Amino acid sequence: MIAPPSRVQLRCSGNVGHPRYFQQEGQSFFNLVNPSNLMAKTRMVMELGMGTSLVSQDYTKAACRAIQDALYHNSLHVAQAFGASPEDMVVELEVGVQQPDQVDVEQVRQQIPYGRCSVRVVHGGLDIPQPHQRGTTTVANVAVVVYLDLEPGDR
Amino acid sequence: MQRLILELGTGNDLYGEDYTKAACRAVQDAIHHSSLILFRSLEISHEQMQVNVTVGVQRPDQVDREAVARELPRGNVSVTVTQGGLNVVDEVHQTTSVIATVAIEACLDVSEAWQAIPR
Repeated sequence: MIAPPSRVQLRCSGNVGHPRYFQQEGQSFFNLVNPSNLMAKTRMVMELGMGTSLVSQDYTKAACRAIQDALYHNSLHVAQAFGASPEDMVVELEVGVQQPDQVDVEQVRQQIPYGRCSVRVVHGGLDIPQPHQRGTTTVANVAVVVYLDLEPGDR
Repeated sequence: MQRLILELGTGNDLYGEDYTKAACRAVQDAIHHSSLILFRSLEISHEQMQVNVTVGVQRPDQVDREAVARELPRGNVSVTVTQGGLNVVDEVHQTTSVIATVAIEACLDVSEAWQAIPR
């Protein structure tokens, strides 16, 4: 039986959404015998959205609208349900657009109202040319993944 | 029971005036903008989830609640239909477009099995 590391030593890496994988201070992965013994950064909710820039080919605008679409189709209560505050949430933003280098990551990050947010922009989304060479309609896809640091309660 | 999420969606039936179809489409819109991954992460059975669906349409009596409930893939589902949504009438062409709006509440008894690690 592996003795669980203390809370301060515990650090997630790699497949952080999976309860069985943790990394201890610079050491390699180990597999916990029982995943419910110990847990930290836990994948709780994923929100999905789509946004467009119809005429201006503004990838940042499309991404921001996609985030708004993802966020405001849902009202999240997971933080409160598990005794945490919204500020405790760890938010990972994944943005797909056809020209990832055109996205202003800082502006995109500011769309997230709570929590510690990281942004990843990848090649994705969709660009559709307008008729008669009048520009491009651009579509952004966004996934917002929310994590909480959890541990077993005193049941 | 704590509410985990409130999912919102709209759906329509443009020409058929089918309030149930509009409601079912609104449910699909609502549930496919998010995923409650925590059931997998914490190995919690979906059977423990209570799902409360509230449908707003202009003619609540026209909605088949059982059909709406079948759109929900998991959990113990209850459906309430109220006066709401929107009907858009085109008097020139004598057609009515039906818009349904749906709010889906997913609840779970977290029962202190898990708690957030204090920062």
